[in-house]
Amino acid sequence: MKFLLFCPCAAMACLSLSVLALGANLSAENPVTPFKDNSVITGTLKAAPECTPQNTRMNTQVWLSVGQILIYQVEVPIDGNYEFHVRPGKYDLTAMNSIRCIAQTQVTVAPKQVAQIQLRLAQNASSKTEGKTK
Amino acid sequence: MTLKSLLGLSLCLILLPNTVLSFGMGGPGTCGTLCLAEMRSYCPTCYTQQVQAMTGQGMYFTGTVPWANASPWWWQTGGMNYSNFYQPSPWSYTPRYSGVMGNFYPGSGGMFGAKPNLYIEGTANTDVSVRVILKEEGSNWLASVPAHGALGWKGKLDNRNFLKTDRGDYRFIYYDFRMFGKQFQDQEGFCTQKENVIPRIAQTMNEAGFNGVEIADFLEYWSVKFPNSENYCVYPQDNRQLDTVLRLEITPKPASVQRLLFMVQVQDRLVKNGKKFTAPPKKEWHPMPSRALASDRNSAELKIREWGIGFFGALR
Repeated sequence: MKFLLFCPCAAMACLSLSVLALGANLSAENPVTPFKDNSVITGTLKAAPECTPQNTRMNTQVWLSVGQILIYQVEVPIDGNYEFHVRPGKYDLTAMNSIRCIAQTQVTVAPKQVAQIQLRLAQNASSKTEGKTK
Repeated sequence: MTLKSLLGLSLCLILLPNTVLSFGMGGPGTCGTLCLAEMRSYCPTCYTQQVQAMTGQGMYFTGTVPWANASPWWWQTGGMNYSNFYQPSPWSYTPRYSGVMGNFYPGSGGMFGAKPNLYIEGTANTDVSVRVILKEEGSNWLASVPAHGALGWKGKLDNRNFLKTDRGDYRFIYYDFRMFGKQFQDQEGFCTQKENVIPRIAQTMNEAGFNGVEIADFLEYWSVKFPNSENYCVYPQDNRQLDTVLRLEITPKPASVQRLLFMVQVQDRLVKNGKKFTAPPKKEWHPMPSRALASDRNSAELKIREWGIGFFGALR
């Protein structure tokens, strides 16, 4: 017997993202330093092949928010990087382009911490899954 | 008048009061701030879907659930998701105190430089480095794309004037910062009604020498993001003031540098209490001629243009 199940978690599963490191450097050659007791969220934007637009002028919107309160909205090219200075706390980071590719994560940063995050855009598969019941 | 500046003017002319524009500069398939602002009609609870499922007791359930068959791609971002999407930042509308809610950002300065865009024009294959030095005590970084780090941005210009770096290609450099702006001027500028503020700034950018694409970048973002106010006063800051807060260190030495930050004050903060930026400017502001510098032999005729919009922190 088939049933339709709405599962927001399924959408999350297709999002690929990794927290590479919590450290003090954006890169060894170009370190980034938080302002006083604050924090930094920095990293690069990557994309699966199907999420790389052919139009090189097409950038991805990257959103940093506290829940639904938007703190920063920026445009980042594929393979590009970003730097957000924030107060210590928990943040939502979302990247999205208009060919239905998205990446999402949450990150918590402590005072004086630099979180280095690689966002990887992937196709946002249907939020419905198909399953069977006994 | 160049073709690009004509484009800029034509964009200003089609900017009608309370109209969301329907152009974008990103090319086909791109959806930027303006495009997202138009996508606010999706209503998750306006649709129903027939479902049939078996309950735990072996009983069938048939009915409707309030969600659409397919969610539009934008629903997790833009105006559908963020409560302050149509504001420049978290914004307080407390009468006489309104402004950027500074408690969401590092630092303590009362002014916010939002979305300065920096464009580099020069000979293809020129190696360029740009570093921003925060000169004012207590001022601090907020954001940048690409990441600025401690050493700044480095790359090679291509024939489209994109900065090609080892971390992506950039049509312009973007950054935000927080400051005190003690040397900023509040004597020259203009005040205008809500429906005129965006076209007036675009017109001023055109007079200052920004090209049509750069003006379109301003329109694309800020026609969506201005805080609500019946009137605004705008105090442009150019190289003379900006260099006191943020000095640009550029290699090779550019032939010209044009910097412009429009500090925007909303109506209910114009309380005329004797403090800076609480009264309308006394004089019209006019752009100074593009500053010609004694350039290096290898400057490749580098031209730098930078525009930005600034707001004031909410008073507590």
